[in-house]
Amino acid sequence: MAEPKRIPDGMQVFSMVSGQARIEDEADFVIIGSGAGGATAARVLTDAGHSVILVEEGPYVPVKERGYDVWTGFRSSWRDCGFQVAEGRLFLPIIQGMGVGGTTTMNGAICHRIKPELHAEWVRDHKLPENLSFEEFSRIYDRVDQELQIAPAPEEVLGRHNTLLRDGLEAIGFSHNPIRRNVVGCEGSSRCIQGCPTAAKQSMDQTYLPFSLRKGARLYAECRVSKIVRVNGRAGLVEAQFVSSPDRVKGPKATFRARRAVLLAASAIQTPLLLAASGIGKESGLVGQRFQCHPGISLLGEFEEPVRMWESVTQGYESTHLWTDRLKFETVSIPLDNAAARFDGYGKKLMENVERVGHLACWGVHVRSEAHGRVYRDFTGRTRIKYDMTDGDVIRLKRGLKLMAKMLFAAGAKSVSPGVHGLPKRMDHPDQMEALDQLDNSPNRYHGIASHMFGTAVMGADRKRSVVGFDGQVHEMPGLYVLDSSAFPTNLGVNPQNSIIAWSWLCSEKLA
Amino acid sequence: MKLFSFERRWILTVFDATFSGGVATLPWKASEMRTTQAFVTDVFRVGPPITMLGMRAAIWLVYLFTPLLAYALPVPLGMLSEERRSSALEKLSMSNIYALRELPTLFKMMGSMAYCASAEVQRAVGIERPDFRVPNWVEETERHG
Repeated sequence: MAEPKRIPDGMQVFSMVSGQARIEDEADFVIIGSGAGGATAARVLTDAGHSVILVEEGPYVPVKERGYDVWTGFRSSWRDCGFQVAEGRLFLPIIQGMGVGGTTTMNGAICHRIKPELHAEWVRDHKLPENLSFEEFSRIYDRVDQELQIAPAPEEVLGRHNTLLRDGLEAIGFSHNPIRRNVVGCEGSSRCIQGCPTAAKQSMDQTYLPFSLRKGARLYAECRVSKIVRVNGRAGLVEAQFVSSPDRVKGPKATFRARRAVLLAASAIQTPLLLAASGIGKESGLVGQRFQCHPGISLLGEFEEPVRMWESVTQGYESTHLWTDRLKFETVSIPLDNAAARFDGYGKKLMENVERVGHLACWGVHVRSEAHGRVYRDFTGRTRIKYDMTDGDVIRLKRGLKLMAKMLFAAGAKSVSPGVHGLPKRMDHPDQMEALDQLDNSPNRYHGIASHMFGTAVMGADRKRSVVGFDGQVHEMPGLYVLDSSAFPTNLGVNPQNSIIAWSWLCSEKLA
Repeated sequence: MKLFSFERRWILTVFDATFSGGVATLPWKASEMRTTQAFVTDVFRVGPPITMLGMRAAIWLVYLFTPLLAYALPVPLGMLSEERRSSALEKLSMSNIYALRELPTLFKMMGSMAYCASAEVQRAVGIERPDFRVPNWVEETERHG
């Protein structure tokens, strides 16, 4: 693949095939999920001349159908229309895409590599073999950098929102950098989460999926997989049904036969559910366990000068200065129709805050949390995510919030809205954030979100202590591979898109 | 999931108490806006059924019991003056009980996706988009009800 081409709206996607009782199809590989993991596998395997079927639960949303408003994006491209939550002492919204291209279509286009220190930890604690060495990961990262045209966000689209964070980080002496992003010609319209309106984001629906389709792959969208079935002792059959999105109208059933293997890349939430539905997990007891994520909290700062968040890259600046302390700071330009939920007050007070949106900056801190949760289906068939931050996680978040307040004031903010239950609604000095230390460590004092899911079908050599091997193959079902972050032993502390791509690529290369 | 018309009215009353009042640049009332009205129908049509069931329970709680919880007044929210409705929601949002303080926040979150999605509100606060148009879901909802 020399140069990924942008093919806006040029994909042939089979969706809600009507008038047929049942759809049947067959290929060398059946891939479940079309996000970073699934699309990469399709890219590698079709390039090697294999036939591929992709099955995606969500819809295909052409660029021209993406709106400027948040609800258009949520209802078309976010799982559960954006209402997915993890349940614990805090109801924590879990951000996840659902559509052709998966989360890559609605994320901030942030590209990170696994930190060498973390890789060394995986080698030490989880016995990662030579074929998953740091050099091997780097080989793929280098290639993906080229193919997805990953580069630091250029100065001209940073806008004041991102450069203010730079000022704040500089003032408190933290290292910082413009975020490396997979975009071409980004105009800085701050609409990543609604789906890029100009197809500048090199998400999978603009890159690896069109590439694979041109090579003959077939993509079935709005098609929900229910089970993976063994044929002659190996994963050989995928059972599914078309279900329209977002209105959930059921269509024909479908059966996809895999001559070589079934590749599962449905995310760290859906992958374990499908494994469990297919009778996998009895040996290790680890399917759906050890769920990890990156909980994050934002602070709003009000400036005298105009900030105009919407005239900047959604997430253009960051600091991983405290990565070893499990904290990462970044800008988050959220649209007004999302941000207003975070503003103080009701009625007149809220409307005054809405009026001032042009002077607000929104920065976030996310924590590489220690907590483990679990994912399962309850007796009604509903997906449940149980997750609770530990005291240590909350203490880290408090530290992150205090530091962020310092950065905001150092950058010139006249006030900060912490949005923490038990603190004043508005603060005009960073020292006021010290009051956080007087609060208990209950997570439900905060309004956070979580993104980046990991660990629910963990890799390892021992089938009693892991779900998949170091080649991604499920111990309990030969011919079935897990190619998403479910297999990762821990969370990364940075955005996982490129590490999912690298993991999927390394596994797919062996299959090719 | 379809709401009874009185439940719709209750939600719009809560949206009004959240998103209207006293600011010259934003004179619109949430309940009279096209996006808000369509959103209430659409979100209950396409949102996850169990979540929407929870939302439905939440609107009963918020509409019927906010004055009681905030001011010990056993009347529904609609019986308070407009200004007092807003301050009652604000008071509830400061409750020490997590489940209670999240209730008004939930409606603020929903209301912001409706009220603040409208082009007139965004323009009024200085946001200009080349592709401002009525969102597809508004037209879809108005077509199909």
